[in-house]
Amino acid sequence: MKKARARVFSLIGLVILLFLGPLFLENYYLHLAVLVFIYVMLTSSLRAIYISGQLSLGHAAFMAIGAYTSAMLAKHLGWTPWCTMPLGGIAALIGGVLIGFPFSRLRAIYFSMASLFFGMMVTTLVGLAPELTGHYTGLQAIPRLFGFTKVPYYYFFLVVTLLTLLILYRIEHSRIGMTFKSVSQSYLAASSRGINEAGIRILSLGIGTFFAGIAGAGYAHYAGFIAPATFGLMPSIFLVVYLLAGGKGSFAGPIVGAAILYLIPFVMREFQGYAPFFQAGVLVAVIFVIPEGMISLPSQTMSWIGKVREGRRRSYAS
Amino acid sequence: MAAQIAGHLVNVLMTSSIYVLVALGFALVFSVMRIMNFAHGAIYMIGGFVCYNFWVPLGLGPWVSLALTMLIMGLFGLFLEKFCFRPFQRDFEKATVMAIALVIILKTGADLTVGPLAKSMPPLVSGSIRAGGVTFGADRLMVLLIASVLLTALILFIQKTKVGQATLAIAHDPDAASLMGINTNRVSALVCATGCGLAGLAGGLVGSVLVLHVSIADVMLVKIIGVVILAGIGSIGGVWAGGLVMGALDALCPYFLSNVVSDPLGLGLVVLILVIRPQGFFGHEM
Amino acid sequence: MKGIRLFTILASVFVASAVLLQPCLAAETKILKVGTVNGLTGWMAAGEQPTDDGMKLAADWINDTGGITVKGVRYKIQLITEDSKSSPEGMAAACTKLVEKDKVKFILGGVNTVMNIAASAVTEPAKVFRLSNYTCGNPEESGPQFPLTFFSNSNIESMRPQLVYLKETHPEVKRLALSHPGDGAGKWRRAHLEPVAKELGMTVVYSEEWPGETVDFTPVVKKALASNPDAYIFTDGWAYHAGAQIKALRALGFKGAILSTDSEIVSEVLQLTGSEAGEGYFASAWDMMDPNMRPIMKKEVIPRASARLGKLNQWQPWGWNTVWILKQAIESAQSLDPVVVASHLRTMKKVETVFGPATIGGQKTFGIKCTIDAPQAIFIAKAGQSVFVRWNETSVP
Repeated sequence: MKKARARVFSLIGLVILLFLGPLFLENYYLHLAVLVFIYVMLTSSLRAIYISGQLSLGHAAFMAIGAYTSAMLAKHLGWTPWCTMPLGGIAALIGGVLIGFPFSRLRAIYFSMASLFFGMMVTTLVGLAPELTGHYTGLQAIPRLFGFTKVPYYYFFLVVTLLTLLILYRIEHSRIGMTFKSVSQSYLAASSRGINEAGIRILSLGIGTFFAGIAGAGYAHYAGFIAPATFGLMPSIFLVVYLLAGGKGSFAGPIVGAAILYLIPFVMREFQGYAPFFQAGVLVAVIFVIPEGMISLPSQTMSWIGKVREGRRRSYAS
Repeated sequence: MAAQIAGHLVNVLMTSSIYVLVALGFALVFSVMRIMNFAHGAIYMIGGFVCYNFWVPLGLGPWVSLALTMLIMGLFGLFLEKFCFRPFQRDFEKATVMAIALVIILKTGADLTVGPLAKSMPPLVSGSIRAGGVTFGADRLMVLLIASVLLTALILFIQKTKVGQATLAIAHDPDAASLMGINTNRVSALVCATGCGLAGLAGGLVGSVLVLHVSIADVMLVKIIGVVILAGIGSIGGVWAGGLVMGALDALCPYFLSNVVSDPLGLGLVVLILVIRPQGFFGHEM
Repeated sequence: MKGIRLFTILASVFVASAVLLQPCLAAETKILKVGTVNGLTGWMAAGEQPTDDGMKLAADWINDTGGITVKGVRYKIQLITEDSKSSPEGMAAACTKLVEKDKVKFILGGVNTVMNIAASAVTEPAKVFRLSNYTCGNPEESGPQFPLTFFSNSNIESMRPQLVYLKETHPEVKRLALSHPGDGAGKWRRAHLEPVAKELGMTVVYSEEWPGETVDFTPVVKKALASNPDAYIFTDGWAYHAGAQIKALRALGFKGAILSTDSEIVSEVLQLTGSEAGEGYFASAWDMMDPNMRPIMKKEVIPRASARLGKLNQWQPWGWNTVWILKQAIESAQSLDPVVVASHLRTMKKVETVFGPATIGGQKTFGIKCTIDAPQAIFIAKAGQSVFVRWNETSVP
């Protein structure tokens, strides 16, 4: 009980600290924070799909769907981004559900492969309407949310990310969430209890893709410019890596994974070309030393210390 | 007309043979170790540059360079299997993260050493063959010949030798295989070494016929995953069919179709296969 | 008594020297921070790494020869180097860091349409002056909506002189095939080239973009050859693509003219194609070691590059130019305000570059003057060597 209360308090403390961010962070760091918020949203929404047993290797494509939908509506039709962003999320949701029908009845690895290729295919579709999408040169002059100061964006993305995390957390710990998890365990057991497996999977996929779309739409109206190159193969793969390295078993895993791994190249700017080695190093360290992911580092350290103490006590006793 | 078709056919066969050479290594590693080696594209690319270094600056000529490349990349494959893959067999997710870490290390290493410059080697054999109004580059035919010989040798090896049979056994059912006394570790090592060696060789061949650049790693990775999916995840024999389809798409679509259509076409086809018949042409249900 | 007298003497000396030394104090050296965004990693690094080196060399040269003087104050250039990672979001991140963290007012660098647009999306709203290395001629990357963005090179500037030379040396050429990478800018390259071709009695019979990740160009080249062109033209400046396509062209038996209206460096292309396949290929570029280059190449660029970097690369002069042009623009405007510098640069009649005196152009094409058109030279591949033909006077209408 005490542990839970301590956790809640530290969480509240963290949130308060985040809200005070602009007081001691200057513009450039507010910008980095916005990007981290977006990637936390993306990785957490990826996890929302993962808990039903589907590892999507094409998640960035749904960020693209949300971004392009919202950007094109706002730029070409003149609608306000406050309207088009939710529409971007819905477009991504629809996309997710539509491919869920054929994909969600596939076994784990086949689903991953299908999502991989689907993800790559989506970005090539800009060629279908080059005037509207800007083709491979990208879509520019997208109406921004707040003009060019960073502070409003910081608060906006902070609030949206917190809301997203709250909603995803509640879903995961509700009955629906239990159903998602049971479906991931066994193909037969769940259906034997009368659960519509494919339907549940599609629901999980839709939830994940919706928030990915929101994140994408937000990004479009923050950066003012999007191009297909930003949403291709490697970004999707990196989201999966953030999830797995952060810790796939816990809700906070993707948050930690996204925040740490995304920031490494920025922190390591001094090392220029060598920066990716640090990323790779962290990944290797995680899978060899902390297989449960970075989120488990504190508890792993505690148990390791405990083992050392136990070992010492035993050797003294004998 | 017939000459035109022959010209297209040679291109299709040459492209397919390169894809099959590289995809086989990937398929073998997956069948035997259940690991998707995402670094395979990078291995192919590095093999190409290794070959370049023997061939041009060190002046060892084509055949010695290709042989050395196969050897070196094969040894690298042994190293990979022992230290990077063996700890994570059967754990798809961890192996994936490991493979991604490998890709990052290999590509960054290539960026820093080879650098961004494109490199190319002179043709294996110079000259061309004119037949019926169409010109065939002799070096392309040579690549096709080399690839065919190697692939035939590999198929014979798998079918006729004990080790080859053991590979197929493990691919079919790893637990039963080890119960039968097959040393899975040794087979895995051999398979990984062969796969990397072939990929490296393919890189060298491509460097001579086309141009090498660090970016070809990603492109090839996507292609061979497509090949393996079309063939059927878990199938080794079907890789030639998958390679043929993929090679045909890549050699013919840019010619007959516009950019807008051919870009998504290959990818869409793979998605379609996965949806309609996930086990591909020859795979079995997993 | 004595104390007061001593004090008065000392005070007078102090005041006198303060007054007399004023000009020297005013000419104290301050720092001008200039950001650079080049693709140090990624697919563009082949040309961009040496460009970045060239920028550093030029900054050293300028600092060694007196720096930039504005209103009597001398400034040393301090380059802040960032990596655009050859991707639009990398470019946006690099520009954002320079603008928000380092608070620079001048940024140098950028090649390729997507990267230019990504950069301007950050620099223009922040009112930062940017001198890019290159424009593809896409009106989306330049124009009145980007008043602070300039381009020290373009692929339009050499189109006319290259086609003129083509006509001179290959009078039988009537049908042109254009090859563009799949970056969406193909239609603009065609739009700029076609009218010039028409004037000279040539028609564009093929103009297609090939997918960005093409490794085997055979099908692409085959398709182009199906239209029976007399000449095959590259328009995008990357030796890697040109080399691969030339190999494919020769393998398919193409006997027509192969050229570029852009600056794929001939020596780099020859390295990929070999002397036989590359024979006769010509581009509008430069060659550092050629005796026909301007004196500054031999006097400053080459010695400095050898001394500081130990190696020469043809893209170093590109980077050098950008820094030099910036210096001239600032000194001519006598201001460090990016808006003032930009509007002043626009009106300059002439700017010195490593390749010779350049003019400012682009009014008709972009609706605003924004390109710096420096001379380029025709180099042709003969017997495995890159041979100088003549200088091209370039201009963007």
